[in-house]
Amino acid sequence: MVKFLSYPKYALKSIRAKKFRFFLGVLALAIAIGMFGVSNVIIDAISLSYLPRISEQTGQVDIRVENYNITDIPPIYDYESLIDSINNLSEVAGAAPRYELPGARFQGANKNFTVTFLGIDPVREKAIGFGDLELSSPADLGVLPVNHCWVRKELAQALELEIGGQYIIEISFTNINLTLDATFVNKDMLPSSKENMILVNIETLEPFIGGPGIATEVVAQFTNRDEIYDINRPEETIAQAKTIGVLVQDAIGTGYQVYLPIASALENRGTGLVFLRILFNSLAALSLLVSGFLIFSLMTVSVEEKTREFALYRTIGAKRRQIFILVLFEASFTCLSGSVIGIGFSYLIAYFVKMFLQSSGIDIAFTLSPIMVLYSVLLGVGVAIIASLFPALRAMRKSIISGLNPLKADEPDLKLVRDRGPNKTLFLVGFSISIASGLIFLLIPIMTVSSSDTLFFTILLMLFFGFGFGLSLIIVGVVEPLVENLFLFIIKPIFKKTNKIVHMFLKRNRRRNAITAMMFIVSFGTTMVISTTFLVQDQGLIENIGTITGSDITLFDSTYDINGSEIMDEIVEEFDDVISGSFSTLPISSVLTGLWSVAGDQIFFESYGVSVLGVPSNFIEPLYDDLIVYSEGTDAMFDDLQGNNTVIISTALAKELELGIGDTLRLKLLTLNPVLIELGYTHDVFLDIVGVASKLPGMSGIHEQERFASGSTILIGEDTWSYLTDLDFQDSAYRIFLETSSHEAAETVGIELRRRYESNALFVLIEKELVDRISEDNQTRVVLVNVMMVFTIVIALFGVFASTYSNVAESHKTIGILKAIGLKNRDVDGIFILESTILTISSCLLGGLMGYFLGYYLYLIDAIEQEWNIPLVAPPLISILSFVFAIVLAGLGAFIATRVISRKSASELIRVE
Amino acid sequence: MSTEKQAVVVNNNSAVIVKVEDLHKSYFLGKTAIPALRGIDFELTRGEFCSIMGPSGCGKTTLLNIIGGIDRPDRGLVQFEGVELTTLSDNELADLRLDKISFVFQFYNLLPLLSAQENVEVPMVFRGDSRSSREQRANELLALVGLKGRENHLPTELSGGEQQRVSISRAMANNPDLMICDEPSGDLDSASAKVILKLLNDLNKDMGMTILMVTHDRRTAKVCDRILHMLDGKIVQEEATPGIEGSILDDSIED
Repeated sequence: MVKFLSYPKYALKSIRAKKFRFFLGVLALAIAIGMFGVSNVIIDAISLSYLPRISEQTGQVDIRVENYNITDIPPIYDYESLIDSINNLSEVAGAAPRYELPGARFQGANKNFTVTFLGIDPVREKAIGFGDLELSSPADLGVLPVNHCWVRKELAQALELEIGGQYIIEISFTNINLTLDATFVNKDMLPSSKENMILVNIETLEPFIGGPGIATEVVAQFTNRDEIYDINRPEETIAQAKTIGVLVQDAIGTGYQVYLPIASALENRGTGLVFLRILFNSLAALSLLVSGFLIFSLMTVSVEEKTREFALYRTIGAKRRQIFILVLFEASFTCLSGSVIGIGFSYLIAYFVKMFLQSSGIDIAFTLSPIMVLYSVLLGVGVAIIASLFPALRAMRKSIISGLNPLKADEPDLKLVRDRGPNKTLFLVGFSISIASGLIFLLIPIMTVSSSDTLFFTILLMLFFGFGFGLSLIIVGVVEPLVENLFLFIIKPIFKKTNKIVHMFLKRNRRRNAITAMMFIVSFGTTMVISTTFLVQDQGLIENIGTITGSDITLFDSTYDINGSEIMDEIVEEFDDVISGSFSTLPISSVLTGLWSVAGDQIFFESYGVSVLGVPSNFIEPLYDDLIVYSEGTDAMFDDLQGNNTVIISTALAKELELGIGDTLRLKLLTLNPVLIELGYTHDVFLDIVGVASKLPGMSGIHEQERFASGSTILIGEDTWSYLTDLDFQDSAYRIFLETSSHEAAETVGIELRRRYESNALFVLIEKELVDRISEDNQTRVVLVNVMMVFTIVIALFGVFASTYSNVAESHKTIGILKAIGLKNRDVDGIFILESTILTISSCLLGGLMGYFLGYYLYLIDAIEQEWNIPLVAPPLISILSFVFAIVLAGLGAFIATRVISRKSASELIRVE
Repeated sequence: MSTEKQAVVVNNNSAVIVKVEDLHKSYFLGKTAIPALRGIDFELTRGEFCSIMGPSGCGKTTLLNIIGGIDRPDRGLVQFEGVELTTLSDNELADLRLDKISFVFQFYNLLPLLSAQENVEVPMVFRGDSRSSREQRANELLALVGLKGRENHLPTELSGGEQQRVSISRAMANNPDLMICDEPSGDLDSASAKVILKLLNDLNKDMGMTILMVTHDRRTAKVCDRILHMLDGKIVQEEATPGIEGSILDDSIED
């Protein structure tokens, strides 16, 4: 065997000869590896901050023991023995009782306020250390004497309370005097939904709740909670928490239920983080794919250039295998360098992100683990091997004779090419991949019941990307050449001289151009599909949010113990900016638990379960007018509704029952509860239909399509309500709708209402605030995704540079001939700039369009399902900017590459072989 | 050298199309200058068919390139129809090549992805001719060189001789005043070479085309009116060849 020159030495020599090409390859891979590293570092950092955010909502409570049997009042007797049983477990650090007592009236300095008490055992709470409660000095967490209390700082300010002051609280028709010891700021000790409660020693409540040892819940913490909670392994975390939960349940026996608030929140939302990690890694994988295309393109050119050199090696005894290894070594050197620099990028970008977050007051620890470094290097080398495999095989298989005599060789590029038309092979491959990945649409329903979220998201994304990749291949093979020809046709009158030559170059470089087009289509397609999905879904939600909220401000009486209409009248009277107000009741079946409602035709030939809600005559006044759609009737139907035995039904129900205005609907209220039967709630009434509505804002049960008939909402007025329920209509107001003079006024009024009324009993929803929040969240996500995608596009741009650079290098002779015929230097520049611009525009445009429509399509399914309006959303600005940026840079890159050739004389160019 | 000077004097009349004086040109291999032309003087008259002969590396192609305006000399004068080429900008030279001077190369140098007709049309496209006039002229020229019916063939579908005929048609496209041929039959078999030389001879004799041709082959050179012999970057001998006897076109000589 012939001893061959050292492979690394040869690779270095080759790289030195083509420094620019090496630079492009290294930079592209470095960006891709950098993105891979950074996205993982950022996700790790987000994950680390995710648990504290969950804790904010749940308090630092790992275990909660409750009694959900509502007939047992009070729920927990003898909490001491319960706590003893729990404390016997080594897995639990400690447990404490809490008692939640709603419905008390706090008499402030000059205001009354409905409050809920939270009775705690201060000594146990301090010993366990559930988060922190920042108390105004000199109070101490372990000391809260009987008949003393702590109040949330903001609430104390709203009620104008003073520390040391004595206040009267009315509980169950008796009064209690409480001394305010301190105000507090909740730092994760209490769930955010409970921080408006008045904190007292649990013993303070004993006279009102039936004596000592009684609690509504017992809360506890795990011993090794830091080890148990690992956001990166949500499934294992949940499993471990459940194991301890089972141990606690065993220890306390039956009768009480164990809940795991943090694990449960993780189960509900932690999977979102898994999805985010998989999504970001997919994007990083996409940029790796694009850089793989680039390496492939560079190595193909390199191999083509060295055809004669390799043939010479073989004539002096080199084996085919050795040629193969030479090519692989060259690619591996490029990729290894790219990986190492990419890891450096990861550190650098992570550092800047950390600095940025610190300046925004967020301190997150970033770490790039050695395993991530190892993965990065392996990925880089993996990309090198895969991307250079085909060029290496091509170099290895080339015959010596054709290598030594390139003019006689059967070069594929010189094969008969009539036109740059559709490519059947690419179409067939793309079609097959799309069809195979199109299984996504069949698998989604099956996979939604799959137990593993990670597996679900991974397969889902893989299939989705596979589908997109297949579509991209079809576009590259069929549509892109046609679009190129279309562009050439359009620009023909402007570029008369060079049009033909550009067409010729596009034909000649079709293989390389297909790879470049693929890079752009994949990059732009993915950018657009993700950002359009986010944008359209959020815009859709914003445009349709009114159908959920109903009006500018919506108040929910969640405990159903407030006279809603009274509060509404107060608000309308007091706030000048509130133009009108109305309300709706809870469904009858919710007010009278154990009851269900069935609506049908006269003989119940057809019938459907419905929700029956009461509304006043001015119901629609504060609602968004543009979202109200009637299929029969006018606004006057709500006046007609107030008479006895009248009803407004949804179009969905009307269609199914084939009923309309003037017809009679039969409504039956059913129950198996003997008490309700005895009270006479089981009515069977005939109601005259006075209106049919397709859409009513705030009423999620009013729909148009027949498929929504079951579960549909029907509306009744005051008289019918009173007849059916025997309850006071005004008093039954559950949701209060308020119309304000402007969006800004809605926000101001809403915030004031929240300050004044919001407690766990009343919840204020401000439409503008919701819209703003959606927009903000959307912006952050879209920017984040797009920033990642811009990097991918930059790699694709390298592809254009590399392609033009190689094109220029291969075109010396052709340009020499054309110059000899009379082509001017500026026309030479024009040819290459035009070629690269047409390629960039057509592929970016097609990729963008593909992504845009795919993104829209995903929303369409949702919108149709929910009967939502479909918003018109322009492509995200950043994508349009990327598009312009790509075109300008591609043109500029071509101009720079062309300088080499346009400055040379025709004779110099012709001499080059 | 006295012969060379004399030749210049002889051809110095109002019909002179190309005039070359003391032409020098060197190439660099690294830092070493390799002289290609070392003081060339000669004139070419309108309607003349002149060939340059000499061994490889004597500077024939360099001389053609400079006269054709696709290369520039280091020193000396090159006049085309009284215009000094060394004073022209790149764009002016490009215009000159487009309208007045055309090239026929040894390896045809056709654009591989364009058909025969499209190849012939390229100079007319650059000049901005209308599509119909381009097509008509291209078809006429291809018919003239005997390629009627092969207009839509790609270069890879044509033989060497046919490709060279397309190349000559392309060179004729814009009605140039001077056609420069660099070994036009060098890559062809003798039968094809004969066809090409006959074509060039007909163009010269029937249409009055001025042709300057480089060749290695004496029988090819003998088709011309005059032969300039070059050696080591200089014209060392000038030879008048009044007829085609002994040339490649002389049917009395066996191939």
